Amino acid sequence: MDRKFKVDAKAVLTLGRNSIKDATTAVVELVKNSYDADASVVDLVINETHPEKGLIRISDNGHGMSEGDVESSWLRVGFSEKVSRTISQKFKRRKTGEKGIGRLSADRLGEILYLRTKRTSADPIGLKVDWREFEVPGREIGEITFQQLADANPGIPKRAGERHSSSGTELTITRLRQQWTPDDIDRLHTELSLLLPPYPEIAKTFQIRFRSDVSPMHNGVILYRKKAKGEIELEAKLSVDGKLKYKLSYPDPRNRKKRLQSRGTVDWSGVAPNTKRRGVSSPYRLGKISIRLSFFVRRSDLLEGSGLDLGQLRKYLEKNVGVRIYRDLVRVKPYGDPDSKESDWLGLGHRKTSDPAGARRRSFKIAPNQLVGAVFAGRDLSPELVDSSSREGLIENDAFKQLRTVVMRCVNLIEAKYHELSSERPVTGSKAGRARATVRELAGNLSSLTTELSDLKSRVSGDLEHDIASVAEQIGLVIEQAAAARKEIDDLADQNTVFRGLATVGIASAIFGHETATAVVQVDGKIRNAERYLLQVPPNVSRATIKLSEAVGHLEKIESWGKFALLRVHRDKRRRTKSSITTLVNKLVKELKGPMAASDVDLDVANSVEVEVKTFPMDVEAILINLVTNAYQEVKRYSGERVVRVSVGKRRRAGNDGFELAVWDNGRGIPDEHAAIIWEPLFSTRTDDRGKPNGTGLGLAIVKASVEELDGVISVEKGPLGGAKFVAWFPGVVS
Amino acid sequence: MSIRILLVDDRDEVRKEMRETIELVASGSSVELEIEDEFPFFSVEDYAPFIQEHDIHALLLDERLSEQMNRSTQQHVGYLGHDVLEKLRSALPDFPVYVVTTYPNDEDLVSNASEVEDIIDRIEFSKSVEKYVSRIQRAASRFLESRKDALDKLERLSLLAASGALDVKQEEELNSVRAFLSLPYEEGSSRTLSGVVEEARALAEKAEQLLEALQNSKVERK
Repeated sequence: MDRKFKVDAKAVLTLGRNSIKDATTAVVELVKNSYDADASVVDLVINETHPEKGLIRISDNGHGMSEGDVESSWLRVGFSEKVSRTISQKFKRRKTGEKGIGRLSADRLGEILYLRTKRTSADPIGLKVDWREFEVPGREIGEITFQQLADANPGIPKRAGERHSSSGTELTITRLRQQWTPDDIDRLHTELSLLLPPYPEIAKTFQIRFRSDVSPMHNGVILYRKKAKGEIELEAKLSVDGKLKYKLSYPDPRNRKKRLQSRGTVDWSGVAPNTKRRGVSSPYRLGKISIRLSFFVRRSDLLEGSGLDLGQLRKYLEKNVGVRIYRDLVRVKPYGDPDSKESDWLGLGHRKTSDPAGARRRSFKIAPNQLVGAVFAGRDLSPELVDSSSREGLIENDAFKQLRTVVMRCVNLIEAKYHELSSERPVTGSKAGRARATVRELAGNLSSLTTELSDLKSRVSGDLEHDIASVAEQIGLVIEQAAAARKEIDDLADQNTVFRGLATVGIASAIFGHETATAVVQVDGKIRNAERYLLQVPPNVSRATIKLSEAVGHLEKIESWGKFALLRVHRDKRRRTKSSITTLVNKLVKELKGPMAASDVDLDVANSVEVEVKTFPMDVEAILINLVTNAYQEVKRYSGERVVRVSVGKRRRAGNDGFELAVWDNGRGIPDEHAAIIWEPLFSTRTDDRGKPNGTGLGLAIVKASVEELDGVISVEKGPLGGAKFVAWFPGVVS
Repeated sequence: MSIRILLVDDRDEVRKEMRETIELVASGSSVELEIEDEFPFFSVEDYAPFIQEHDIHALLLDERLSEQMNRSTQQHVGYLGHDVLEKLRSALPDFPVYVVTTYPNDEDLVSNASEVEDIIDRIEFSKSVEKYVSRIQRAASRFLESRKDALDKLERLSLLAASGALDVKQEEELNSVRAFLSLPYEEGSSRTLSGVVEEARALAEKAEQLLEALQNSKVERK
């Protein structure tokens, strides 16, 4: 007699119930099946008040099943066609479930399951599964038959913009095993929104429409969480031989609205631990992996311009913090789940507690609530990463350990970069800029402290809670004061810019003043002489006419000075705009050339390259005018040729694009002993021939302040004509 | 009587215009005015000799003389208007000098105000040319008159000195006139002249006496 195994029907239920942790997991599994079935839309309904003791409906427009499919695969427990057909036909999705027990999730949710399914060009199939029948002791699984449904047609959802599908599957579960609460709905909603990685190109192919009568606020299309941009972003890929190629992006310390990138490659021997000591790396088993990590800092100053305030960031991090693992683009729970013990599977919390060093210390460590990330693996690309039998998590084999190692290496890269950025102290920059940065950092650190105190407050009670609240309130006041101080600094800096512009006008009067005064006298004198000629008997009209036309010529000179003075502080020039520096320089030289020639000073542009940059024209003009005036005053002291030259060109400095403005003359240069202090206000090297100082001492101080305001650098050297050469360099994108 | 005025400014146009203005204004005057306009001289020492050689009776001077270069020499002068005064005053203590400038409040200029007749704002000059030209004319006339008087006195006293009839007081007066006219002289030179004349007279007397003695001696021998 041939003997064979018999299977108790209840064993099947036990298998299912043990594999699926909770109702949320069960729903997610069923939605995953729709994903694997190439559905573009899934309708999920949870109706707690349904008369059949609650109802859950999951309907999709996937490929559905034929009678044969139902018979040969759905009704065969443990069989999964996903083992042989791993990639879906339509969307080329790597199918998620392989164990062939996902369908048992339905039992986890309710006692009765109605399956309705249809393939295109096939008849619909409808079955009623009463899981209670499986619980009868001693009953074999083969003895249980399912009622055919008269109405087998599935309700197939239609997605906007698509044609109505003729295939799909609808699962209706009644006599729900649990009562769904708003918290359950919230959790489910979160799970579903995190089901797929938050990248639009993936999310748009699969839409989940959710409706429940428990928590209507979640009704609607489940939107995948838009990812906020972290302070530092890392993208990394590992090749089959374990070579890690990474790219870090982070804000430019000089201009936070701009992001910089750095790239690198680390061999597996550099990634794996203890490699050097042993001399041999443990073989790489992980396969091709990609990693995306975002590091967030809860500081209000660092959020400026990001579109998020501290409160919004906090909410975002509450929902998203954690490093999640996706296999074939579908999430592997529970890694990175905030409520799970595997939320911090990398052990970041323990590391941070062991060494809470701040960012300015080399040993700085990221805290778990600062990191949002995703690790992408594939069943085919990383075959050694294996699901655990509980349908949650992965088996912690060598491949998984290597996965942890690799992700931690990426975390180290972010930590090193943040430490580097925090340690850099700007040595250039205006006083106002430095003051602003200090106040901003202070406010940022205080806001971070307030956040931490707030978290702490929720964990204590009594007097301590009150004390913490009081401290938090005080810090709040200081933050307000810091904000007010920042505003004042901004206002003062703006005023300073205008004052510098006005001072420059005053300083430029050294060039224009004498000429204009002479012109005024000439106009006056010539007009009076014209009058005298006309009063002669007979009137000397021709001579009078000559005098008047000469007067007009001088009036034009007066007008040009007036325009020059007014345009220097024009409102437009106080705004940061895209400016052609070359045009600005040429225009200014043209305006100054004539008046300077009246004192035999030859001003010209030596060479210029077209330079366009976003900057404050008033500051650039102030710098140029002051340098040219300085040179003019110098060369006027000497007899003979008096030459001043200007140049503008592109130049890279310390790896940064920028442009350079230079002014030089044929004077006697700056004495070495004065080179360092010429930038001080009220210091002047200029003296008359009796040694009496006759400069204002403000020009170069204004130049330095303006250069620093633009994050530039100014220097002086011996010029090609023997006199001083002043060179100002400014960072900026040059076109 | 012709008054000669010297205009000095490094700007050609300014100088020409000023000249034209003064000539226009002075054309109706009974006093004949002659204007000389010059680019600033190479050195401050050149002013006094020029003034004397060209018989200039007043100077109108700009303060900022080094703005523009001499087109012939391609050089700028290395001094300012007030620097001229020091040298000029030592040679011509009473010579009228007017500074016409756009910067009448310049510190160095103002500190030398006692050395000039007036520091005139250029625009004020333009507005009140008639008034200033009259003033300059009067000052130049006075200078010319005083110079003429001094020349007459020089002639008179020199003749006295030549005839040895100069007393001490007159000798002092002669030295004073010489100084006024900037003529070179040595202290006591008039006394030297008288002495020479006296000596010559004494020698002539002696010569006469010797001659007389000789003649007498010739007669006795006969």
